[in-house]
This record gives sequence, structure tokens and C-alpha cells, in this order.
Amino acid sequence: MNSFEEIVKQEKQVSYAQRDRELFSFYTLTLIAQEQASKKLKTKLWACLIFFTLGLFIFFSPIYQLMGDLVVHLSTIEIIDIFKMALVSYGVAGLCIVLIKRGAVVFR
Amino acid sequence: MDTDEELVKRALKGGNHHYGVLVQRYADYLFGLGMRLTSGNRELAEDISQQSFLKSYSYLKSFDSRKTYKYWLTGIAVNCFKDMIKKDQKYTDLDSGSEPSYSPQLEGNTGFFDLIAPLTEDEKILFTLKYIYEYQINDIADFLDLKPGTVKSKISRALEKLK
Repeated sequence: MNSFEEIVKQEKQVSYAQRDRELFSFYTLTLIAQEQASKKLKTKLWACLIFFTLGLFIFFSPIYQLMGDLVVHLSTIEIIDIFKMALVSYGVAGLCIVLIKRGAVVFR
Repeated sequence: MDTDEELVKRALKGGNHHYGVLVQRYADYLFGLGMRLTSGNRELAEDISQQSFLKSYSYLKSFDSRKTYKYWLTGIAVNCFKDMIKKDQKYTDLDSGSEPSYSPQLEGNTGFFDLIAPLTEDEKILFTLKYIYEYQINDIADFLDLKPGTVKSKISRALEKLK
């Protein structure tokens, strides 16, 4: 039976090699690219979620005001103010949609 | 030829292909380390080397250029192996002697694998790093986040087992 030192010495001389180093490297880089793409997608989804929530808030704020006014001050509704706010809100939301559609600038 | 540190810097600037050079450079080294730690299990060794490269890329920003990339990668690989034996039931199945869920193909120098067979996984790591890769006690302690004294005593315990 080989001695401890002899076995260790033999093992040091053994060189292990991947089956296909090129393929291994390519596959590893693909996984890295996949992970990066996944991270980017997550960032975009978060951004979309924030825009969507903001959009919803902007879209529905005039309705809440209208409903509040109807309940509390039914007789003193300022229709003009509500239309102004709706106009501004929808304008901002529309702008957001245009920016999202042109997306590249916002999300890159 | 570009140094590892230069390639790391370039990869950080956004060039994945530079990292590819590092992968090619150390693929066999990590595979060999994996083979020794897993006692010749090619599949696990390939997994360890791949996971190590993926982790290394994720934490590339934290690479400390005062030490070599190979040294840093070794630490990552050793910890990948430790994580793997914690998580991978397939591997622990093999060790516990219960029926394995798959049949690994064991390759390599069986004399060495037979020699380290009585050791625990932790002891195999210490023994391999100390006697095959000839790392210093302080380096091994650094890889495994242990005190040098602990490493020394664990290695002497491992040697006792092998006598």
C-alpha cells in the first residue's frame, strides 16, 4: 500500500480537465447574461408597477374628489375645478403612457 | 497576456467577454478542486466550478486586488462546496450510506479518494487545501472564516484519522 506522502505526491501530479472548456465557458457566460437580463427585467417591472400605481392614483383622484364633494358638500360642487383637475391628471397620465411607449429613454 | 486583475477591471466596465477569458483560464483549476473535494464526482465538480464563476461574477465589485483572483476564486469555490453539501440531498445521501437518488460517475485518482474517505467534508476541504494545493494555514482560515488555531487543530485531527 502506498504511503500517505506517495499518494499525495501522485495526486498533485494529476491534472483534471473539463470535458469541453469552450462549451463550459460559453454556457457559464450565457447563464450570467440570463441573470443580468432577469435583473433588468425585474427593475423594469418595478418601474412599471410604480408608474401604474401613480397612474391609477392620478386617474382616480378626480373621482374620489367628486364622490367626496357629493357626499359632504353636495350643494357646493365646483364642477370647473374638477374638470381642471381631471384635465391635468389625464394629461400627466397620457404623458406617462407616451414616455412608457417610447420607453427606451426612460428605462435604459 | 492580460493579467487577471486587468480582466476583472474590464469585466466590471461591462465586458462579459473579458470575464469569459477568466472563465477559460480557471475552468480546469476549479474543476480539479471540485473533483478533489467531491472525491471524483464529475457532475458535482462541474456544478461547483460553474456556481463559483457565477458567484464570482455577481460579487466581482468586491474583489480585493491585494490578493490574486485565483486565491479569491478558491475561497468562493470552497464555500460553494460547503453550501452544496448543506443543500444538496443527493450528495448527503451518498455520504450517509442510504440509497442515492442517482448514480454518480466517479473518476480520478482513486488512491487519493480512498485515502481521504474516512474524513468529514470539512476535513476533506482542509486536507486538500493544505496538502494538495499547499495553502498556508492563515489562507485556509481566511477561506473558511475560521481561526488559524481551529484550522491547525482540525488538520491534526484529520491526520490522526488517516494514520
